[in-house]
Amino acid sequence: MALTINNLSKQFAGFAALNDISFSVKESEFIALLGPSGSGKTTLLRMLAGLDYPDKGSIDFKGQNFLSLPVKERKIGMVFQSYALFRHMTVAKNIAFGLEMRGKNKPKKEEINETINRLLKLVQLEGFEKRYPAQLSGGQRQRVALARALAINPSLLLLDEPFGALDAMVRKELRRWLRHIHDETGLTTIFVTHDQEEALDLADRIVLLEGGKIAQYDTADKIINHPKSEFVFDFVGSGNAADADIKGDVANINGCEFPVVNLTNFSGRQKVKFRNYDALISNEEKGIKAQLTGIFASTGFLRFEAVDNAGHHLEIIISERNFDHSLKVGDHVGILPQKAYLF
Amino acid sequence: MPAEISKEGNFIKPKTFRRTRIIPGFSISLGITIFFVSVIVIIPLLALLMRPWENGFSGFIDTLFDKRVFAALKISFLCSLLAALVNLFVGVLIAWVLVRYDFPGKRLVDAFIDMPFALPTAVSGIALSAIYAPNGWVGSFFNNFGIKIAYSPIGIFIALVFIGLPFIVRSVQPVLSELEAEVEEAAETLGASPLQTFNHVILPAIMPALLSGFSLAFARGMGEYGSVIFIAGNIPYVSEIAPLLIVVKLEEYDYAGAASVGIGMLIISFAILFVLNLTQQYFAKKGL
Repeated sequence: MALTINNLSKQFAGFAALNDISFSVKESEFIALLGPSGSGKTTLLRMLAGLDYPDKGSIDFKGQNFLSLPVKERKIGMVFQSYALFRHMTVAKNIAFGLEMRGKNKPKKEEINETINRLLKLVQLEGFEKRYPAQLSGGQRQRVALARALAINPSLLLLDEPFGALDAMVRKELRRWLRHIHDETGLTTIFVTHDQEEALDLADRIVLLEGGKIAQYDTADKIINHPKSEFVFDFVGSGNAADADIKGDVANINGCEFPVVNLTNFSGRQKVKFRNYDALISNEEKGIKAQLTGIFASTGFLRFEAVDNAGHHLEIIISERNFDHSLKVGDHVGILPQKAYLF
Repeated sequence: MPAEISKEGNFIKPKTFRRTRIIPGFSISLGITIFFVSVIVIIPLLALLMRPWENGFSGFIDTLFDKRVFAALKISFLCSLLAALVNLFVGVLIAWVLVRYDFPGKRLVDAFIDMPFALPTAVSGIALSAIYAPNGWVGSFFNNFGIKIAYSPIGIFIALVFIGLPFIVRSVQPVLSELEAEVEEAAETLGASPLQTFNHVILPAIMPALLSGFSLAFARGMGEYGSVIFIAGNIPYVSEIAPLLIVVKLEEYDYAGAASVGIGMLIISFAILFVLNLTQQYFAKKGL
């Protein structure tokens, strides 16, 4: 294990920002700290960087006790949410900053220039060395910030909401590119995000935080298909709730039987949850009786909105290929879940 | 189709609007600018330049290098420069504290910074001399060690520090508060020491504001009259400031002499402001 975090806790004016956090990260792993705002993910990242300190617990990185090391000795590459570039320095000076500040151990001029050129190439900003941050677009600034962080040859790369301030197109592109850079450099990387899609798409493993505690620490696949709590289920995607009769791993709603991931081993009548894509719509008198209130087209799928007899709203998405064109708004239908969870 | 266009030969040109600007057209606003700058600034200065030649050029030079005038100009210049320099350090510190820390009474301290600005200068002068005079609180303490604050250049210096402080604090404060704490943290993660962070990251960012604050404080110090004369004691060759000498000469109906001293001050101030302006432009070119 490259990084081991044990029982990390921090109180802020009476409320627990972090509550007994423990997890470990393998060498070269790409980890996302995911959670809603106030879940403690940025606090955790800042503790790894040394910009914040816990009340209790330990951080061990490759045998070093990180908490006893000041920021400048941790050799961490940190990319801030606002990029925090030095406005009065050119792109080249920004990238070289970490090397220039080494005093007696400062590398030779040619060595620094070599590093600048290598990194500019890596972040695809060749020819931009003389520009000032004000003359760059958001995505370019972000890449300069990354190059600057990589220049000190860090052993751990930390990114705080790296794509937060960018528009959707640039975001997707930079996301792929960041993954590519990670794979190329082999750096252990930890990034903070509140966007579940970003975390699921990019990270090897995800630390999903809820109110300062780890709700689940798993791969994207496990988090999507085996959520450990209702919070995890709700946070990573949309879903519907319905009452069903439970017998072991099988649920039954009005003659429609489907498998249920039963985490609590309850039986009898229980509230289950199912994903909006884990259901079919039929004309039969089976499943959840509901009336369609809207049909919306999207790229590749259709989204149905319905209301059941108790007045609960349901949302189902169905691939365009499987769409039954006879369905109309106002139709009475039966909604048939295919897989559900009982928390 | 609109009716007026369909009628052949009876075409009514639709009304077009020129895009309006917030400030009325370029020619009008430039005209007003030039008019005002001329009437308020340039013409009075030219009038000043016309005055001292009653006794010829040699008369002007004689006045300027008259021992008493020269001493007064020197005292004004040195005290203003020294006061502005001290304010440079103290002002940055105060601005830093006001921006970066929270403490009870912060708003009150913040409001008090402007007091030297807002007070009638004569009131400041009386207040300062009450404290620093040999029988005042602070003055009597230093008097024990044989240090005279009031009625000496030290008094002038203190009055000018008092007057100049808000200029530096108020120029630097907004720039500092705009500087994100993340920028300093970034420098720290990259291995910079606190001193390196200040020298390479914070100082360059606040430099233009510092320079303009310094120019303002210095210029104000050169011209300051009311708050200084009470505490200075106005002893010729020792603690007499140039603006006072102008008043003295005016009272003696020596208008040419007064104007000569005025021009001397003008040259000094203009030279300093010009150099500072050039420095500022240099920093502006570096993308600040």
